[in-house]
Amino acid sequence: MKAPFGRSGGVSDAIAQPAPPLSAGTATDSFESLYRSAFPRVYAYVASLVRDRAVAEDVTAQAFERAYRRRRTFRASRGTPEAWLFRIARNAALDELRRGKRRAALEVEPADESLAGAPEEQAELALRRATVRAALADLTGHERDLVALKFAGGLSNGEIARVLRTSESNVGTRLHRTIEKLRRACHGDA
Amino acid sequence: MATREESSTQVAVDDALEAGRVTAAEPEERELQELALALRAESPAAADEFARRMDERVSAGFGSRRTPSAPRPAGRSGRLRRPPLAALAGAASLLAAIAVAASLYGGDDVATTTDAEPVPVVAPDGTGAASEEAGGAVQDAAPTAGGVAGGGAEAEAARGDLAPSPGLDRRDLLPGRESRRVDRSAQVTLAAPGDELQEVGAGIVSVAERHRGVLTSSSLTTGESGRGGGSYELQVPVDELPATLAELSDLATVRGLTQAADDQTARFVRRGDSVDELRAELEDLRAEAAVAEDEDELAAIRADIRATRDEIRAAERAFERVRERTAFATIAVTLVEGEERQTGLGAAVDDGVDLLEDVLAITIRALGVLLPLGLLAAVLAWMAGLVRRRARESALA
Repeated sequence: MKAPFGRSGGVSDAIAQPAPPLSAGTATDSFESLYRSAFPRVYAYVASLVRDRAVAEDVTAQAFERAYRRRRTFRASRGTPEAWLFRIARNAALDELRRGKRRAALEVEPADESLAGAPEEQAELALRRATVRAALADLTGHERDLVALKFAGGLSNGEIARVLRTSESNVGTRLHRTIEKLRRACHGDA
Repeated sequence: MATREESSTQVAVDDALEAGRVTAAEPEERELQELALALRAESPAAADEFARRMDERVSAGFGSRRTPSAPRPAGRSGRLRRPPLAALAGAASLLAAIAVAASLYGGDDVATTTDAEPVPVVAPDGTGAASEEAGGAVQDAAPTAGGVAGGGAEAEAARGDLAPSPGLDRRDLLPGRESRRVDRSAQVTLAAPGDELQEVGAGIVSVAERHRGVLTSSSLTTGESGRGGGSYELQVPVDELPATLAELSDLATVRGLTQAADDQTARFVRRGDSVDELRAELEDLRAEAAVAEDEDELAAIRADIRATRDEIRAAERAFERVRERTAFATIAVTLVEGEERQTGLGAAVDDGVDLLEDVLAITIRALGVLLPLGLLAAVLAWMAGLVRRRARESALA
């Protein structure tokens, strides 16, 4: 039996590790590689959507298990393994949201390292975080989904297009509008 | 198509996310990059305990008790899996294809029998009505595509038992099968290529002669019209009938064979009894004439004798007609022009081509049913997917 593999430190670290193609090597090994590179981002994305730690954990586990069971159905011609995995995770999260209509406040705290530094810097960071959270709270569900795929999931616009079953240019346009909306909210522009 | 502004936003955001820091010099782009980094910093991280549990589960293959290629269980988490729409559509299409194929094979288009004219069956009682009660007395050889082989089989049938129908009224029959007088007849339809009609016609005459029969009528038409043919009527001794039919069937392809038997025993016996009675009456009249007392009485008796002799002659002719009718069997042979079934490589190629044509015809008809069904199934599947997707997306509204 293989020893449990070490998990990635966080979303930033995970994004730096490109997911190997699922078809490389045996399906199980490929899936473990995919899991290793994508787990933090999948969790971050799911948690951003459902905004409940326990639910996020359930949905993330369910998504990976579902992906594991269906790993032989993956077709490289339909997109990258990550897009395929995030699509499964998104469906699981949306199903969960639809079932429970959970809208609990986010209990998950961001990584602690972002608060490191001098007291003035910490205060500035905390203020910026509060501003960003307020701006995020004003987004629609679809916009929040898009932002989560981009920044929590770390997907490229092309991969997001695969997940959302739309075109890459449409994703670029919607993302641009959403970021502009957030920027205006954060900086108070009209 | 992305605008220039969208492209610059995307580049700035992607650069910051890749580098993990602000890299742009322009204030506006720096602002975007700071926002992108802040958004990523908002990404929740999984708890260590959960991550450890997930590591273990993945490492253990999620505790799978079956391989991914193994059959799925009927239900999961207490919910029954919905049968895929495509599978239902496929099953419906398969049923439709089977129905189409069955209707095609059951219909006229792909009938494997020849188009020989059905030969009327003559019932043993001479009424012309076919009846199940005719039993073995009437053997109706239905038209088949058997060709030479089929003709041989029918010839074998012709050699079979031609006994009178058990359904006949046997009260007046004499005991003993050997004393039965049966009027037998047969109708044969032979098919031969146009250039062989004359040869087959000559063969029919030869067969009749070989079996001590006579040709009572014949006609033969040949030419290039493709409508050649002929008809022959033979009379052969009754005991030669099976052998005659067997030889006739060897001449060409048998398209149809019908045999009929009409038991004439009672009539035969009655005719014979009538003759005997009249002869006895004649003897009585002769005895009376020998003892006649005067000329007048003798003249009257002689008149009776002449009348009785006339009756005897008429009765003997009737008796002879029945005897002849039951001593000879009538065979009506109809000769038609038609392709004789060939054997060998050429015939095999022809059969193969015919088979391919049939398969193609079935395929085209099946596609006529399957394509609309498949299209309908695809539209339904697409609509179902769309509805499911919309329902899922409604969670984001």
